[in-house]
Amino acid sequence: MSSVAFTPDPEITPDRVAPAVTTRADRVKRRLTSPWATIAALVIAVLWTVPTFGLLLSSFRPADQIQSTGWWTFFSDPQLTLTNYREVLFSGSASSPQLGEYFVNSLAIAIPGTLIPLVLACLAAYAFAWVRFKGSSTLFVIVFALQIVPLQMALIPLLQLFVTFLQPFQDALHEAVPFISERQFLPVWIAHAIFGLPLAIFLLHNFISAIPGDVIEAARVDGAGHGQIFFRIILPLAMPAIASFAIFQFLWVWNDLLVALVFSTGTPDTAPLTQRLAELAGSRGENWERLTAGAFVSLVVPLIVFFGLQRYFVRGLLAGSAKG
Amino acid sequence: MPLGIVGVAALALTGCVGDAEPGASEEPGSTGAAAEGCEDYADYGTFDGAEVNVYGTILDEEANRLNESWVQFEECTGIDVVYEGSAEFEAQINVRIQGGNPPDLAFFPQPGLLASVVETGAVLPAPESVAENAQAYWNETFQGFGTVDGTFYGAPLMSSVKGFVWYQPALWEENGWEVPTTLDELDELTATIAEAGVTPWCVGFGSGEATGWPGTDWLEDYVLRLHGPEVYEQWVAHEIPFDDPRIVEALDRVGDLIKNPEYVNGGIGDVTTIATTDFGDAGLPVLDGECGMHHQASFYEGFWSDDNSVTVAEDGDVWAFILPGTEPDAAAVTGGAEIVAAFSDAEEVVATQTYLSSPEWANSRVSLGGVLSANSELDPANASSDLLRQAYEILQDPNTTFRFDGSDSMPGAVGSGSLWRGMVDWISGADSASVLAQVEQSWPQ
Amino acid sequence: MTTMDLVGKLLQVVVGLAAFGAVVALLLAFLDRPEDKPRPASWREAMRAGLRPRLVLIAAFALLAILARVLYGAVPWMTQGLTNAAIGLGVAGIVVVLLQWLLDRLLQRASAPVRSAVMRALGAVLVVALVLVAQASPSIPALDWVTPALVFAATVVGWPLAAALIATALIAFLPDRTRRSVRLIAWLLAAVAVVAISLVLEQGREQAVGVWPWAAAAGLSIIGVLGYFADHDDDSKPMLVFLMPAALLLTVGLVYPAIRTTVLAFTDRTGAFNGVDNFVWMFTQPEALITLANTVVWVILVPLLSTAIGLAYAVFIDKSRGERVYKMLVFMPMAISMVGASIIWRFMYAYRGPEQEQIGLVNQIIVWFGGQPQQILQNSPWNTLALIVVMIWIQTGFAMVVLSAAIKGVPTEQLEAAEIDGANPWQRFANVTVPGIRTSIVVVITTISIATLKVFDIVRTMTAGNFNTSVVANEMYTQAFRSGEPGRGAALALILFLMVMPIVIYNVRVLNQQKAIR
Repeated sequence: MSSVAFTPDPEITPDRVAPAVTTRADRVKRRLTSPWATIAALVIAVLWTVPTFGLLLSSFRPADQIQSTGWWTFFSDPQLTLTNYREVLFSGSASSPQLGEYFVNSLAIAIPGTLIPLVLACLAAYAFAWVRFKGSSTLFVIVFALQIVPLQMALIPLLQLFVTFLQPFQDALHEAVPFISERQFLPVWIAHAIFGLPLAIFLLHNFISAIPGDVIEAARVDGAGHGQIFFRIILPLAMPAIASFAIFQFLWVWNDLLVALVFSTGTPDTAPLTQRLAELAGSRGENWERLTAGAFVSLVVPLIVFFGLQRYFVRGLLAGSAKG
Repeated sequence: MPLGIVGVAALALTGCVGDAEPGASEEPGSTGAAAEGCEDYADYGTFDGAEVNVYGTILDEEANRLNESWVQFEECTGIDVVYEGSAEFEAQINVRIQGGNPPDLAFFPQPGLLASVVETGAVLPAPESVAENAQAYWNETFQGFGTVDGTFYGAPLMSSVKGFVWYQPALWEENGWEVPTTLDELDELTATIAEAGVTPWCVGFGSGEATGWPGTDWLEDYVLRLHGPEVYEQWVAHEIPFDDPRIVEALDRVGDLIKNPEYVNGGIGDVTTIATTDFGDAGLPVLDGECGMHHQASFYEGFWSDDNSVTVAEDGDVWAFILPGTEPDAAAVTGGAEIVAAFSDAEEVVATQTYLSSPEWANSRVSLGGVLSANSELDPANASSDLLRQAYEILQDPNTTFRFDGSDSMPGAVGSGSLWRGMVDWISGADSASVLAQVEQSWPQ
Repeated sequence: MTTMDLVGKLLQVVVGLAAFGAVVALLLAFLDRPEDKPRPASWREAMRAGLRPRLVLIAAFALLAILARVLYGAVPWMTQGLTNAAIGLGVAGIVVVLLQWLLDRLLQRASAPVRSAVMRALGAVLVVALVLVAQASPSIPALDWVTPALVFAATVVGWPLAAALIATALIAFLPDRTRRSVRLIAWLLAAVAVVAISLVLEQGREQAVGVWPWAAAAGLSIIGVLGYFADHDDDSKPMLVFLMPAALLLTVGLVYPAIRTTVLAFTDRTGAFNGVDNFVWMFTQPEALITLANTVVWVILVPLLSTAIGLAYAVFIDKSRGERVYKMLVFMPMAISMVGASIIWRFMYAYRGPEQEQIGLVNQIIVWFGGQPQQILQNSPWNTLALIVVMIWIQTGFAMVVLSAAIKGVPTEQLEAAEIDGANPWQRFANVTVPGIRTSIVVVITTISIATLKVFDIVRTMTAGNFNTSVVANEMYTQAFRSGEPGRGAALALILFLMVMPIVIYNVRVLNQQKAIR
């Protein structure tokens, strides 16, 4: 029983879904799905989709109708408009250019903001899981407990540090390369990396530590060092876990407003999409029609990432199985 | 070992990075003082490639107009004024100051917030030139808004008048309803409208995380009108208890109107809907004739329609009167203004702050529409609507008693905390005395 | 947006990622380095051994400098500063490579500590020289391109760096057999020394050294503490490399703020110590108990329900046709920001009077079934549940994605064996699948619990904490940022920390069990 309980995740037993066992798996699968299960899944899927669907439909309805009638009345009185999207996408001006620039900023923040913590967390998770040293558990618990340090309480001290330590270098960089603005993404990346690290280490540690010890032992006997073990064994086997964490971290960074408010400068140089959309919504949130359209504009990229990396889950699995 | 080498290489790297080309980052548009029409700006001097960061609450369309208003100043002086607006200004300004990253200039919409920021020591007293402008173009009341403990920190930017009551002239004419001249008449009129089968008031306290603030406007208007400016000031400064019987009386008077199920909530629902109805939507039933009156500041002018299809005029679709006093012709109003405070004394910052306190800027901004300034040199003809002209007259009338929006002048813990929540509790059924007592308890020691 | 802006942004990303990659690669280069490389027998052999990589490096640096000089004036974006930087980097690189080569050879017979000490001392001398040159640059015509920002940067990095180099050079002389605690003390002393030296240097100088020495000291302390944990055997040394970057960032970004928050919790608005006043305030304000109770309800309901629904859904759709689309539908709320989700649900819950047309779907459904429309967000205590639904709606996608992956890892043989034993689907699920994915379930519940404790955007956007719906995190944000009472906010943050303790302890136990089994 214990061996079942503690060698759980798919990543670690990739051979189970290897083509060789597909037929057997199919047989079991048939027996597991009942019509009731399908119905329940459908109900959940519908319940979870309806609010978003309402938003989507609302984003195409004229502003005054959003306020006065429910979106389902669309089916009896279909009226659609693209005004909301036009307003959100193209209402540029000197002070606040069109959404495209903010889109670039969001990407420029989210990609390094995902990669940096991911790499560092992989390294740290490996150390906690497979390097034996005194106090390993204590350090891990500390890192784990850091998750609860509320973001809000860390903003001010971190900003102080950035202004003192990073600003001189940002200024120097701007002086050397004038077309790099003195308002840079660096503080936002570091902030996101810091805030994402504890959870990333915790999640990845759980997957990495579940990799069977004998695989690693065997490699070590063959004379592989930590670097080789990390690159040749851990990374490929943990790829699905890494991909799923990458998705989540990307989503958090993409949807973040608080960190951006403090560490980006709010100007088109660095401000991400969320900040612009919050602005578009008006100071008291009265512009419903823009909110609905804006929410969908910012939804597109995360969904693309999810679709893109979902395929990667499978590939990671197969890559692992080919070796195992 | 390698650590030392890396250090040297890193330093060698930074040591060689340098740019000796002055003005390399110069904006192509800044052509210096030689440009046409720049005579008025000669006094501010010219600054090549200088940049002034401005932080405020103004967003979107309003922010665009703001940027437009100082374009010529930028062209003539070479200063690049970079404005950043944020709905989170109240929280973020503290974060930035404590983080050591304050903007050069900030537009404070609340004197209470300005006062608490001044406590941190980050705000610089207004430069001579700004003080001179303030004395020349603003009356003492307005100068007082930018003064904390006897030190003058900044001149007002734009101003607004609160306490308008919006109505539909056609509907009123049809029913023979007259604009009331005293609060008692307003009560009578409310009853009359209700008898005629129209719900007299429509109210909405909803405003996201700031839900409750429209309620504070009601309370402030009534305190000022029933008990006069002295009591009002004492109340705001917490020299009398927050739940002083006079304040309870004022809140009860408000309650007689908007907690009465017969009188609210026109076109929306019953009393319970007030707490959640968004303030922006609350007045719209006036247009349909489902609601007799709506109490909201002059800025509500922009809320009636997105495409100006609703005319705001005495004989138009909607019009407004100032909430009357206890006596006819009593002229006491509440209102607001942004204070321009500086966190830097660089020359370009001083120049910008001075320009923003000048009549040139006031006229430039007001003629772009939608807002008002209390600057005495403002040409009323520049105001974009009759309502703004009416508001300007009120502001400039020496007989007018103008007081800043009280909750904006209180400490944040009350003015944008317990008082908002208290107003929501109150409209949800709690009685006036206990709500005010609770706010009193929350006043920071 | 001009093209130049775009190029600048792109360049930031590329340079940033490249620099990050270089740092990581440099760290990893420390791994798997054969510790006892056979020492080359002769001088000539030694020269030859390191010849090729160094020649390549020198050529690369030279190419960089030449390229910069050629491009200067040829393309508009090659500014004088950039050219200077590139040429400087090239020349400095060549000098450093040559110097290191020479020293390596000169010292090849010396013992390891001596070698490293000499290297570091030399590095320190170079750093100091560079700083001095930078500071003297205003009076040197050839260096007129050195801007004040550069001088500042050189100064603030240079002094502490030199001090740190000297300090660590001395530590290198500690004999191999030295006890760990002594080493730790040595590192900490070095940290203190850096601060002390800087403070001495600061005396009589116009420009303050600022907080840089403190940062260098913090870095030394982290190395010392990590080194303390590392055993002497070879296996644990790499730990330093793997943990170093994360430890550095976490110390700066979270440990320091956590300590600061703890201190703040006992101070008032002006920063003066006020004992436990903040905690007294917290438990005496009228709505305190409701806020705490709400938080408890949140942290119980959200993790359990979203995990249960996510698990059920993952099982139902497992290997079914269109699994991807199914997953996508439930995952979608994850991709919407909290504020966006709150807006969607405020729309769902919107209320209009009974005589009017409803615009909120929930009330419309109530009306369709003949009920009276309800003020869903106002009627306590049900409004708290209405808010919790939003969080569940968001987090189910997270649970589903993680658990679905876990389910696919449950060995088919075990399911088949259970089937042959006559277990029905439910028994197979309860006795085979669930034990098989237990760890994942714990992870999911833990993660969602912590996320739930921290959530404040939903409450803030939907009710602003009115109508008895507030939670601790929302109060914390309100107090610390909107009311200007950081002390109270910090006190609330501490309460949150206490609330998460049981979760931490439970996870530690699971961790220990796992370790015991391995």
